[in-house]
Order: sequence, then C-alpha cells, then structure tokens
Amino acid sequence: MRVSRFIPMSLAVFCLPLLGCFNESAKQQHLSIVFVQSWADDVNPAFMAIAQDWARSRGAKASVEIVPIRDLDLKMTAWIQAPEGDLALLPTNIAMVNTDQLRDVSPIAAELSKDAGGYYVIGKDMAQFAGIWYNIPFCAWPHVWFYREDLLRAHHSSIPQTLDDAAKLAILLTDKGAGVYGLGIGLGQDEDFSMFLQTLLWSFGGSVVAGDGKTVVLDSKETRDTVSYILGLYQQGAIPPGALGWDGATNNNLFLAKKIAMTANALSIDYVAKRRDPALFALIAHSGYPRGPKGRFGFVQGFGWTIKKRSNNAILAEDFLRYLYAPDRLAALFEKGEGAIAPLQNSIGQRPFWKTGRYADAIDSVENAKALGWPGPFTRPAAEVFNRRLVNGIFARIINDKLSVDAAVREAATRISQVYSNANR
Amino acid sequence: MPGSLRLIRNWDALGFMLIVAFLGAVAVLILFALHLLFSGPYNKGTNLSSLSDTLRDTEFWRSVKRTLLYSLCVTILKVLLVWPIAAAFRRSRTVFAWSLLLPWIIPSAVSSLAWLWLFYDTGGGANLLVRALGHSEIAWLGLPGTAFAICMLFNVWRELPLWALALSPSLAGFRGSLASLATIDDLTPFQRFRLLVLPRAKPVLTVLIALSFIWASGEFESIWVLTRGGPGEATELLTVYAFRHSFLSQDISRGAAAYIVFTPIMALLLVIIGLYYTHTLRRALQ
Repeated sequence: MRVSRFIPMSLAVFCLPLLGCFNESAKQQHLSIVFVQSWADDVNPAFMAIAQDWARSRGAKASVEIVPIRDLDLKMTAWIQAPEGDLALLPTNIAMVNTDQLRDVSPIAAELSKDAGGYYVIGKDMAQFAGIWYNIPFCAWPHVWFYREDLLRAHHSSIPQTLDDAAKLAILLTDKGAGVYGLGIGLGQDEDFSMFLQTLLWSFGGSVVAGDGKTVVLDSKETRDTVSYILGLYQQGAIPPGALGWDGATNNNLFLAKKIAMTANALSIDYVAKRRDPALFALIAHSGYPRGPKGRFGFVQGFGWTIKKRSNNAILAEDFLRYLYAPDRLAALFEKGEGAIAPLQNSIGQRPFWKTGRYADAIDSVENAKALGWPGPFTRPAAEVFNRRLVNGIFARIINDKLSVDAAVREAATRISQVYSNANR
Repeated sequence: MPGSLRLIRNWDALGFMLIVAFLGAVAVLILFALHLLFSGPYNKGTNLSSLSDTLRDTEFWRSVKRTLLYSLCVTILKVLLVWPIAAAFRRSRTVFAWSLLLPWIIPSAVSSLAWLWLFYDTGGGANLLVRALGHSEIAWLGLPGTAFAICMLFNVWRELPLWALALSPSLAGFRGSLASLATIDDLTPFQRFRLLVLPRAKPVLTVLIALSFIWASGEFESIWVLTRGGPGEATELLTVYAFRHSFLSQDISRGAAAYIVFTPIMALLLVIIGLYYTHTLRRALQ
C-alpha cells in the first residue's frame, strides 16, 4: 500500500468508534449494575429479567455484570477502584472498608425500609458506620449446621443442642475405617471456618474487640476455650487431618461425597444435593448453631446495595432499587434462591415460605447473627481483621508451627491490636 | 525514498525503538505501582505508611524468603532432571516425544485443578493408592512440608518440557563425531556430559535458569488453586501475599508495596545471572 494512502486510512479506522457519539442510543440513560452470582441458578436470570424490565419501563439501559463467587474479592476491589460504575451488590465487609468510595444512601435506605417492614438487626448493623448508611441491606448467606440423618439414626442420636453435645456427636460419628469424619470444617483461611470460628468465639463468651469497638480483647480465657474446643476435635481425629488446607468448597464436596457427617455451611449443599443426589438430599437435616456456654449465636455473610460516590447515575440507581424492592417482586426473587440467599427485610422473612424446614433455619441464622466487631459496632478495622483472617491464623500457628494455644492467641491479639492502632492513626 | 520507509529499512533503529517502547511500558507499570502505593482505603495522602508497614511485617519477609527458596529449589530440580527428557526428545520425534510437551501445553489452571483432585486428603487419587497399600490417608495439601513439595513438583512437571525442548539441541553430536572423540579418550559418561554437553548447553541453560527464577517468583495461578498459600502460610509466595493484601484485605497499597520492595532483590539476582551469561558467551567465543 502506498504511504500516501496509508495515513488517511489509518485515521479513518481509528475515528470509526467516534461515530458512536452520534448514535441516538448513546444518549440513553445507562445504569451499570454489578450483582453477585448466586449458586441457585434461577436467581441470576431472574435478577437480569428484573433489571431489563425496569430499564424498558424507564426507557433506559441497564447493563448487569454477574460476578462469580470465586472472583468476588477481586472483582469488587476492581469495581471500587475503577472510575466508572454505578450500583453494586457488595459484601458488607468489603463495603465497610471502602466507605470513602461509597455514597451516603441513608435516605433511600430509610425509604425502602418502610415497605420492607424494617430490616433485620444484623442488616442494619452491617449497613451503617458512624450513623451513615453506606449500603442498603439486601440479602445474606445464612450459615447453618448440616447433619447426615441416617448416621444420627444409626447411632441413636439427635441434633445436638449444645456445643458439648456437638463435640461428643462428632467423635461418635467418626469412622476412619469407612473414611468418614464426624465434623468437616476447614481450619485455614476459608470463609466457612471464618464464620464458624467467629460464631463459636461469641458462643464461648469471647470476642475480638470490646463494646467500645476499639479495645482488643482477643487474648482471653474464652478465646483459649474456643481454640481448645476446636483443636480438641482435630486432635481426636473428628476433623479431617488436611483441614488446614481446605478452601470454601472442600467441605461441600466432602459432605456430598459422604466423607463427613456434619458441617457448617450455607444452603448450597442442599441445592446441589437436590439435583445430583436426591437420596442424600432426603437424608440431610439442619439446625442453627448449637448453644455455647454463653448462648446461641450466628453469623451471616451480608450483602448490601452500594452506589459509588463518583457515579453520575445515583438517581437512576435509586429508582432501580425502588423497583427491585417492591415486596412481591423481591419475595419472588428470594424464593427462587431456595435458601441460597436469605432476606434481610422483615416483611419478606415473615412470609410462609420462610417458616418451614431449612428455610426457617436460614432465617434463624439471620435473626441470631451478630455483626463483625460485636459487642462493639461494625467498623473498618473489624472488617479488616475478618478479611485478613487474623483469628483463623491461630490454628495454623499451633498445628504447623507448634506454638502453644497461649502463644498463638497472644500473637494474633498483637497483630489485631496493630490493625486497630493503624486504623486510628 | 520517503523518510519513513528509510527508517523502517534501518533495523537497528527499529530495534532501538522497540526497546524504548518496551522500557516505556515497564516505566508505566512501575509508575502505576507507585500510584497504587498511595491508593487504597488505608493510605492517607502521600505518607508511605504502606511501605513502612510492609518493611516491618515479618510475614512479608517470610514470604520473600519462601519465594526465593521456592525459586531456587524448582530451578535446581529442573537443572538436574531435564537431561533424560531432553535425550528422549533428541532421540525420538515420535508422538511419544511430543506427548512429553503436554504438561506445558495444558493450561495451568486446568492442570492445577487436576493435581488438586489428585491430592485431596479425603478421596483424592493419591490417597486411594495410599489406602490400597494399607496405610492411612495423608493430608498432602494440609501439611506444610508436603504442600510446599507438591507446589514445587507441579512447577517442575510443567516447565520441564520447555527446558527439554530448548536443551535437546545441546545433545546433538553426543553420538557421532564428538562421541567418537570421547571414545578415543575413553571418557566416562559423566565426563562426556561435563566436557561435551555442558559447554554447549551453558548459554541456553543460563537463560533458562534466569527465566525459571523469574517465572517461579511470580507463580500465582497454581499456588492459588492448590493451596491458596496455605496451610497457614506454608506456600504463601510473594504473589499470594500481595494478592491477599490487595484483594482480600482491600489494601491495594500494601500489595503494591510488597512488589516495590521485592523488585530490587530480583533485579540484583538477574544482574548476577546476566553477568554470568555474558561471561559465558565471551569464553565460548574465545
């Protein structure tokens, strides 16, 4: 090609995208939405349909990105850091650490609360910081205990009501010859263990931080009792030896493979079992967390709608949320999840669907749940400690590095104190 | 002749322009890393708290040592194990020989998953074999020593084919004229290797060693799939440390700081390797 024609043609090619500026549809209002993929397959297309119906009714455009669960941290961090983007369903522990990038949504949260019959306490606690709402409570991943009912019957046992009973049951149900372990819970950095450990810590009367939200109190007898309880089950062989290396899906896979008799997890196990192994599905029993010496507690992974501070489409985003939060529409979306996502709105949770069986256990876990940082408020350092799995790390230091319980707990408390002191500088 | 065409005909100038463009891209990445150092929810303004926190973090220095140890061990293993595979590749151009390239060809994420299932502590292929032999299951990925070894073995298994392919020409003449010389002098196989093969292989081997160090120190995909840096922090290389801080702890500036501190260490190692490579080439030319 002759050089004299090359330059004008190159310019023409590079200028083609600019034609988009003259396209009428480019002037249409455009809302970008980020939604967390649900493992309940029906939820994702249902949400897409809601977004598209809203867009059509408003003459706007909605582009929805469904973020896979495994990419959650990565994608949400990228969303927060990017200059563009309007509305996203963020895990509340990520939202809390990035409040400076998020819009104050107090007015819309209050407005939506009216139709929702108010939010569950955990929803309210996870949405606010210093009196300002940074997210609108949407849903939670409930965390319940799973049992193999056939094994319970074979050992003439029932669902344990206390943690002591649960420990005895775990040892009873362990059958190494058959390759079955009593309690399948990871001891590493997976999400399930983080939720399990936090709940047990409260159940034993311990906590990471005191009621003032600033004083680190992890180094306590109650923490040592919690650690000794879990460690005892591991040392007695009721927890599989490789538990330190598990990820969030390992306990699911092992329960479905009938290698563990009990576990604590979201209702994703049911969803998969119902479709792939109906015989196993029929044998699954559930309960909320057993009662510890200081009561029954729960933990849920909360999600809330956030609007980016830099977004130029805040009004559009709020309009979409009003559409989404119409009670019947919202209730139908949650019911498609089959318990994968539990509502954080009182009026939805009181509907008949949530009154029976595992769905009732899901609501029970929401009702008993406490927010990170409890008995203090949900704060940025509380979220950071959870995100960095600093309490989880105690077990690796004891099992791998042969630290004593005392030394491992003290070390974790020191690291957490550093987090809180950095947050205050 | 138009000036632009004259430039293109001057390959040296083109090469220079490409190097400048490449260095420019590297400079942009470094500047972006510096920008990230001051970003994130924990940094206030232009203070270097992320950098100082990283330098004071014992977990960071453990991950640096672990990364250097990992890189060194996998490189040594490759240097020792490559020769039989290179010889097999040299002797045979059959399907069998080309099948040796499979570990390199299969996407790392896929092969990492296969290794993960193989080494699951309950129900994994390795433990089925162990149980069949009458022993109790081993927590392959749950014990720090075995988890680290498996991560290293995966890296070696995956990259050996590339090494074999690159080094197989060095074995040319191992039989034939050079070998007949060796027979005349009655050299042992090890002497033949040391005197005939190694000198020819040194330039390529030096490049491969450098690449192995660079790639191993940046290993993330397989480590994340196999162990996520666990159990505990047994396999937490610098990449996992940076990822964890950047995306799981939402502290991008800490992740950037980790690499800003590590880069000079790697650069120094590569300068040493580069100087050795230049020295090797000079001796070969003399």
